[in-house]
Amino acid sequence: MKTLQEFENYYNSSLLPDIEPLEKERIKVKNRLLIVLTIIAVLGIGLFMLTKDNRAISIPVFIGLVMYSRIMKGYSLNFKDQVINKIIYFINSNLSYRKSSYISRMEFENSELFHSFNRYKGDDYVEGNIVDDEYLKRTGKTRSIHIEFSELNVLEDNDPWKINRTITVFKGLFFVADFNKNFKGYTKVVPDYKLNLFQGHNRVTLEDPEFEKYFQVYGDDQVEARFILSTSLMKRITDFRKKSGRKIYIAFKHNKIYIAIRYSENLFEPKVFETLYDFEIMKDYFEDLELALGIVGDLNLHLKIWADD
Amino acid sequence: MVYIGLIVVVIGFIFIRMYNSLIRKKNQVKNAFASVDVQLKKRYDLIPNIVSTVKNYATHEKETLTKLTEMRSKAINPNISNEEKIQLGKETKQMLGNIMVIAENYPDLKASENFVQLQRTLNETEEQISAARRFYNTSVTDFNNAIMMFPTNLMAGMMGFKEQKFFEAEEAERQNVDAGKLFG
Repeated sequence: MKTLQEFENYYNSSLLPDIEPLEKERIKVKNRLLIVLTIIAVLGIGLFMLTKDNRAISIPVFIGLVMYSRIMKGYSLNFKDQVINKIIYFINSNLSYRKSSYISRMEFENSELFHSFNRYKGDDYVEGNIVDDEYLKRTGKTRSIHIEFSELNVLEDNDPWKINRTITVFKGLFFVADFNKNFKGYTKVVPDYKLNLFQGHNRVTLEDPEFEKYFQVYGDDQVEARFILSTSLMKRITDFRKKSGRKIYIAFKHNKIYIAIRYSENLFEPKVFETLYDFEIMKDYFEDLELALGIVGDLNLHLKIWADD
Repeated sequence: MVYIGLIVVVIGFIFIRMYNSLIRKKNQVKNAFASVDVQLKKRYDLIPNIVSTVKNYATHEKETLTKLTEMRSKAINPNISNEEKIQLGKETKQMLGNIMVIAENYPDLKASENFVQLQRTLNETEEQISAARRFYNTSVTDFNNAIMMFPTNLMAGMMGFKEQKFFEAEEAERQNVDAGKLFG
């Protein structure tokens, strides 16, 4: 993993010179957006004055939204190729980035963490093998684990309570990796709500009070759940929860670990009204990526000292 | 009269529930111990393999290996009590730990594929034992709470239930052994 200082050096020496054309494009896009915004505002006010009807405003707003997404699309794709892709490559050159792909729906459903949704989409897919550097240094042999993650936005259009039109079932980062122990059943770790109903599995009460404060564990085998959630892994999950400051859901199934981290905002998207020359903004992208890629080290997933299949 | 009847029914119902919950907890302790036992057995099953592998390389460690074999034959005797099982389990763990330390002095042994495989299996078994032990201790806590707290303690007294002992983790286990370091 790279430190923030290393990233700052990289940003100044390599990234900054390369993003000059992109910054020019950003200014153009920004100006176009400002023009569109002005026209929409004038049009909106004009229509309202003429008709005295609130609904009239929705027409220019709709046109504005369509134009906004058209103007942003090209820039957004360029931005991801030139900034996000490079940051990922900088953090770990074994990883590949596909901006429009995402974790397969099958994999998401496999995790059994979220249910009842009818819209499934995402982007910013990262995939590859993470090599255990420490092991390589010590033994000269390569050992790696496969990981993949992407941003996901999973929605349900039919709210059974008819309060909202759409419910966000899950929005954020979804991470899948090989797990370093072999197991047969299903175990999941969900945020501790006072009322976690209908989990469909038996509650597993663990001994770590701090872990139990943040999470509840459900599974179909009491001993296996404890085999997976060793004392040290519980501690590591608690630390990761504290470090990220976000709601975290974890499932263990088919020798894989699934981690869902909730975000309210869209990740890895360009901020068109702020300059690319600002390191603080780049730092956010870097830190979001580091958080996801750091999971392997944080949870010690590459430590494989247990029996193979 | 009807009221008295009703009260008797309610009290009876409460008693049945208390009784069932105590029995359930008691059985859970029993099941949990059984799963510890299964895992301990798995570890004993590894011993002959470990002994024969280590013997080939570490010719000066006969005494330790003989002790280990003796422990195994003691442990697989079906007539020993649970307390003895727990005690033997601790001793075996310690002895196996010693052997892993001894292995450090024999580079050929440490490098042998067979030994590395055995170490991995042993690590996994240790984790399984630890998991089963934790489940057992949770079940014991549950059970002990029930027999000490009011009102189930009254019933537990009548049923002759006694406080169960925990399966304490060894000091070494608490320290989260970094078994990764064993692979040179």
